[in-house]
Amino acid sequence: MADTARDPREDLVNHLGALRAFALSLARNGATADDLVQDTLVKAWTNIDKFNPGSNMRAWLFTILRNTYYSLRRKRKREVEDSDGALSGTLAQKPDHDGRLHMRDFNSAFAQLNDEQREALVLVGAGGFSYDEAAEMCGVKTGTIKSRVNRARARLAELMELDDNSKMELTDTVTAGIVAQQSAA
Amino acid sequence: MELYALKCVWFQKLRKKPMDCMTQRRRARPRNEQADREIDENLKRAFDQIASEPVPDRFTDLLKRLKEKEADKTRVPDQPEENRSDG
Repeated sequence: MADTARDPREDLVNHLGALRAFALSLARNGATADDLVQDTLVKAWTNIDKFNPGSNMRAWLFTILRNTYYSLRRKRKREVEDSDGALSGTLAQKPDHDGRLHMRDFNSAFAQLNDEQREALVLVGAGGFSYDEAAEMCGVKTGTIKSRVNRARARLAELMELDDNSKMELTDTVTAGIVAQQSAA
Repeated sequence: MELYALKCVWFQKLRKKPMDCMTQRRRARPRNEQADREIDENLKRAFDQIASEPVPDRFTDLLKRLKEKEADKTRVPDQPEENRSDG
């Protein structure tokens, strides 16, 4: 089925879903995420000569997307200063009756990680990339990715008060929480 | 360690119930592996769910447009259509 001579751009369509999920986990905003995917596709299309056909296309695309995101973030930081307030507004959750953080709070907990931690955790924990691959994609050392992932997990566990006694009651609500970001934006 | 004692007090306050500082010390350092695993599993489930959603037309259309543009670009040099004159 895989024809070696075929244009690698034909494969772009197979990564659209993963690109959207990655974009959403970084941007936390559906509109921005989709803009990121669009920019990534155009860049990938026009720079396909820089892609090594034998290598991992998803990793290549994710690298383009995260670079796009970080340059956008730098630009926006200069332009808008209120991004924090706007975000926390949409993420505000009503406290639970028993005072314990619940699964839908995974979303707010996740949002409290910094971009670098969130990115590392998503790449390694959800994207199926190795620490080495993630390090290469992010342009940092493997140890840096490891510590980002560890800090991200520790922070999430702390925020959700996960310890030996409390079993995580994460179910579909987690998913719902993250997915909800799409339509919310 | 002083910091440690401080942490224990903080934990006690937070939980509003008596807590043995020694047990807290024992498990404060190595994090719960199960929690880590569950975080990853849930994150992965969320990620996969979003990834498997139907892709908006916007992106498939974009790829189609890029492809057409490319086709036009490569067709221009030899212009096979242009040779067919109307007369």
